[in-house]
Amino acid sequence: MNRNFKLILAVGMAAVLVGCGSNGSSIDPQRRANRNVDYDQYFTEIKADAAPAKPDEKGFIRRWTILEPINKPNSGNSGFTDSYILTELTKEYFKGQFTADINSLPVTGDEVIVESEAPRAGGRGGFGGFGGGAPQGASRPQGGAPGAGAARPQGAPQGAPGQARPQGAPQGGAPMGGFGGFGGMMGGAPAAAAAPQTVKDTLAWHSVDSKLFNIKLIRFATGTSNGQKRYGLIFNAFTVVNCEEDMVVRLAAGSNASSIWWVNGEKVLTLQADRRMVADDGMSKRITLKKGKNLVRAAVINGPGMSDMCMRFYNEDGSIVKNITITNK
Amino acid sequence: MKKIFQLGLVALVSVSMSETVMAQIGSPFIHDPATVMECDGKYYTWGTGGSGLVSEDGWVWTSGQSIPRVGAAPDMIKIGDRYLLAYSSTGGGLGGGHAGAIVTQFGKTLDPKSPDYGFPPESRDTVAYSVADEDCDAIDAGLILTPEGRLFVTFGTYFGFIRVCELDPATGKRLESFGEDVNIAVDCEATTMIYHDGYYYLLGTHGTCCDGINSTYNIVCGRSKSPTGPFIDNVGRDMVEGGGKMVLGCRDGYTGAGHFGRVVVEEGVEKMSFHWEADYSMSGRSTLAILPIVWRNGWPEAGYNVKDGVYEIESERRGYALEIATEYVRMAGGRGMGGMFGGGGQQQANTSIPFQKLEDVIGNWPKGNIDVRVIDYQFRPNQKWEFVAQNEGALGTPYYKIVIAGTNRALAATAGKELTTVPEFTGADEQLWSVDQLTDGTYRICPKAVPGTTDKVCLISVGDSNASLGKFDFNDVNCKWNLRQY
Repeated sequence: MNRNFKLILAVGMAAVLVGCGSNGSSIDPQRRANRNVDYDQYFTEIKADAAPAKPDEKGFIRRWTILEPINKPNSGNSGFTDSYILTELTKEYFKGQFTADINSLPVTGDEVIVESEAPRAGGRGGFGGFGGGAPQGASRPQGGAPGAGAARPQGAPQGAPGQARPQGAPQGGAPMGGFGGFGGMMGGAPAAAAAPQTVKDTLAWHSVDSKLFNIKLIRFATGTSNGQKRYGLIFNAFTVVNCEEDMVVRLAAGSNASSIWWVNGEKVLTLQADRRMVADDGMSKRITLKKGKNLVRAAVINGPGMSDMCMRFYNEDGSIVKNITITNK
Repeated sequence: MKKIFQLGLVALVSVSMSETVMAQIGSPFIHDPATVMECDGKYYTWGTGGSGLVSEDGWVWTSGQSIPRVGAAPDMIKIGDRYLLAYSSTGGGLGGGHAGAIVTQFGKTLDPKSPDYGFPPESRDTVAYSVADEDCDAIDAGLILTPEGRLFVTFGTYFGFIRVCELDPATGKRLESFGEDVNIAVDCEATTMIYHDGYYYLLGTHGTCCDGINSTYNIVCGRSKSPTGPFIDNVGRDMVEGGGKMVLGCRDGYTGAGHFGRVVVEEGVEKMSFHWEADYSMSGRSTLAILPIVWRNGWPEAGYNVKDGVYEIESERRGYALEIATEYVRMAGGRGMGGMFGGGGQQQANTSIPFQKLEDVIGNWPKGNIDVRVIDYQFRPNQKWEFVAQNEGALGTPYYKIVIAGTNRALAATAGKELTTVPEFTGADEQLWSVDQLTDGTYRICPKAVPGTTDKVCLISVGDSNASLGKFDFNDVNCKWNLRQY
């Protein structure tokens, strides 16, 4: 979302100020070192037979199965119109992407091969540079260089983080660099003007419990790609909501940036445009969660900047739904 | 009222009552209306001389059944399942004698077609009076039932004191234990008392009555912790010393607000019934009016019904604007980092950027129903709503058609208590909306009907970015909207 622009600008300005300042700093180096963003700080990988989870105390659903992100290297977020996100978030990248079959859901380690646009390397003209390169220690997984593996969840099954293998990605390319200057930041269309090159990615699913109420997709991206993926991505996720009886509810979600949400195969909410993630930013019309299992799917797209999402249900009377359980199958 | 018998207005009012009046913006003919009452789904009021008005919906008023007693400036209050009428007999008017009397009577129903209709004479009682030339003229009764269930009546006019005494709510008769009447104001007309948030408010009318378009009648108030006063206005002046804070005076096209009555529809929805001394659009006749009550800093004010026009519908929840969910169309120009940061553009002359126009975007809008949502206001064509009052309504508000400005695309309720916009306004009930200003100044917007249900619902925010229909709750910010013009 282009509110990210402010963040990018602030970070950039800060970088300029730091660069212009003295060589020393009064900040304890350990404080900087403590500001790591390890994948493990955000997610706990869970097994397929994990005990059902409950919504958290505020009703947020933290258990999701998320596919390693698909490249969609938008240089800005201002073009996320209804038609654009409908096109991009309902595009079939792999077989079974839109299944509503509760019995054929992927599990951790399942892989898909996805053909997507190649991330653009370099080219961080103007302010683009502010967002392309993360400040030292601010957002990269600890461990430094891509491939070090420190950001990967420990003990992950086959195909889990660290084994997602961008195929044909530019070597040494910065994660989603190249905003393309002001035009891209301020008003550029999401898609690159030139025909994009494509790459094939083998992407794996990960069942996780988020340690935060919101699912920090950007940390999921960096943590599952050895820092190769950060911006310009599409995320696909699902969760299974188990009900003891039919329930009339509203799905309430927030996302950075745009997203579409489905329940049992029906699109129930669209959050178009350049958005921050806000709890209850959007709410669906009244929908019925069936007794038994209900499949909730989300797709989120973002260009540069933070990406995350959160979701919970409300009863028709405005109270938060808590009498459900959450599973990954 | 100033003994308008002397002014010959009784005859005028009587003639007026013989006409069938279709109220536009609430203008049926009456003077000194009693507080508007609801009974079995209809609304009633009576004025000086006993003339009555009735309304099926609270907006369109016609001549109705007169009350059985001809008197001055009646008031009415519902106690349990009965209606207590209070009216005045008068000694002759401003230049005449001042031997007035306040009379009460109970009735079971206000529907003249009911077999129970009537105000039996056996319940009639004179509860207060003034003798020939004392400093009070006991007319213009106003009734209040306190939160504790005590019943008081205020009375008096421009000839001296306004007084209060207590009545028995079971019988409507005077409670002798109250003792002597208490002076609570001076030189007012049409007083009544209301209770709000720990205070009793005494409302009265100042200014010149009964002078048509030159009348200066205006409604004022003071407040007290006790129903017997002292009632102090907003500058610390006792109403016995002539004080009073303005509630409503004159508005363009309407002069002389008087004879306040309060109707509490439900929490947060309050109306004031009163009369205009003169409605310019109705030959300067005296007309019934109903406006919202807004409470500001602890004082009541007359609110506003929505005028026909184009508005942003802004959610009180988030401050976002209701819009139809059409594709966002970016505007060209008007950007550039040089301009943002002050560099590079300092030497350039400014140009005016035209607003996005309906014709710029409407061609790409879907032709069928289009959903609504709530999002940042950018004064775009899909965010501009035109309100147009219709010739029917609810209590104190017309129904409006609400369309995207420049089109006939209308906001509509749908089955399942959700929302859409339909390409053409047809006047169907689900496309008609009442708009009530609430006591905090925000607005409630309700469909006349929702397909498939009889539930009473209003426009609500669901999340920051969506809208739906739901039960009104004044304490729920989701139920409130602001109507903005820029």
